[in-house]
Amino acid sequence: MIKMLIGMIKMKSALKKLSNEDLTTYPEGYEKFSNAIKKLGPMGEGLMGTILMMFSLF
Amino acid sequence: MTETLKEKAQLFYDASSLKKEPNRIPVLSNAWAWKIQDAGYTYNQALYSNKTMQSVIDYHCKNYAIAALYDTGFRNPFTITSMLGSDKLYTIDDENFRMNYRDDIVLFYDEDYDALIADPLKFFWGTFIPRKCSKLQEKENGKHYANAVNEMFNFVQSSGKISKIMTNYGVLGCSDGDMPSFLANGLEILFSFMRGIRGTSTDLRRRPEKVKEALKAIDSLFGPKTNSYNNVGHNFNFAWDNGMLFIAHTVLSSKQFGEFYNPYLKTAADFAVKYDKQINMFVEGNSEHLYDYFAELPKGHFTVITELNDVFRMKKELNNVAICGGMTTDLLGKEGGKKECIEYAKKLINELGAGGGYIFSQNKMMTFKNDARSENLKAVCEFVRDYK
Repeated sequence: MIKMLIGMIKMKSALKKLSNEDLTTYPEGYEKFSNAIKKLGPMGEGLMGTILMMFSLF
Repeated sequence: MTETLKEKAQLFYDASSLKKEPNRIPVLSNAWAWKIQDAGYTYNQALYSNKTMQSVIDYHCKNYAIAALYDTGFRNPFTITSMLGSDKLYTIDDENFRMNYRDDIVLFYDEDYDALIADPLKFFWGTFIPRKCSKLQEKENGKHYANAVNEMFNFVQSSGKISKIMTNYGVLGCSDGDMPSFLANGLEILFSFMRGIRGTSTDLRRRPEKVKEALKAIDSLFGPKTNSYNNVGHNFNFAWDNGMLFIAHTVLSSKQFGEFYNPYLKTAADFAVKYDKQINMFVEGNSEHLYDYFAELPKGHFTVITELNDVFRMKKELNNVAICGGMTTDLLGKEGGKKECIEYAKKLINELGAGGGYIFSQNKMMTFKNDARSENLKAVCEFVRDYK
């Protein structure tokens, strides 16, 4: 649980640093974004799939 | 005596596995956006607030004697999509309680096929998502991605609270989130979210091989990931283990269904048998022209949640799947129609429930205000709960 919270803080901080960037590019923007998400820890890998689906389909 | 969640799950399992007649007929609530206005909120209020959606689910579970609920607020996660600007693909009319996907929107063009097939991840990330999400067209768009991720976590947290609310009222969810999802396949995604009705229909006729390649590309990203899955047996915390949503079949001939759609059904069938799972098929519109394919499904693993099909005919023609639905919203929406509703519910149970294989539900996704009067729905749910 603590590891997860630390991962969450790291991920949010990494995402905040990308606020002014253009993340729509591929592979550059995608890699920056997915690297930030992976700071979450082991859950980050699976989360990228969910994010991709959420952003694409909903 | 109040039934436990496990006992309700057993009712669903008995009905859908066709192994024995359940002790009583379980009720699945097929209330979608309808339940928002029924709880006293507008669509804008509920869809843009996780807390209000929790109140909606609380109200619905408290007031109706249901055993399971399909839509737990996941259908339109506008709290997330509004951060990206894609919520504007919907039109909401709070005054008349109407919400529609703007069907004039096509987000995938003729010239996109090759790019999608060549590199699906590159296409979705670099082209499709920015095209769909208006806020991502800004130059400095990183903050919108971050906001959307934050809202995703809030949404997940809220979904956990909704699960607790449902558990407190003894209402089951319809799908085990830990199982690989069969909900959306490539064809449904192309049809509903990308190419639209006209474009998909034309492409299926004019360039079927290209469509097949595109479906493979979409499935490589969004298809079920079954490799590391190894949980055999039904999960009795849910009404079913997983679900499939059928919309695209409404524009397919029987022959086209065989060519483009049935492979998905076969994959799900193989999975259901291998892992001994129960799968619901939420089939919108009419699917009577597909019974030859449904008849090939392995016995006791699939439940067809039907809308416009004649359920009595269905019971006679398909003995390998369970049937869920039948209660017409024409009757549920009728003023002073309580007695008539109960009579019809009784007919459904007597004729479809005998021998098992029937789950009571509405005959369509309840979306609009007129789809039911709350006193009719309440009376019918209580009748079905108590009728043996």
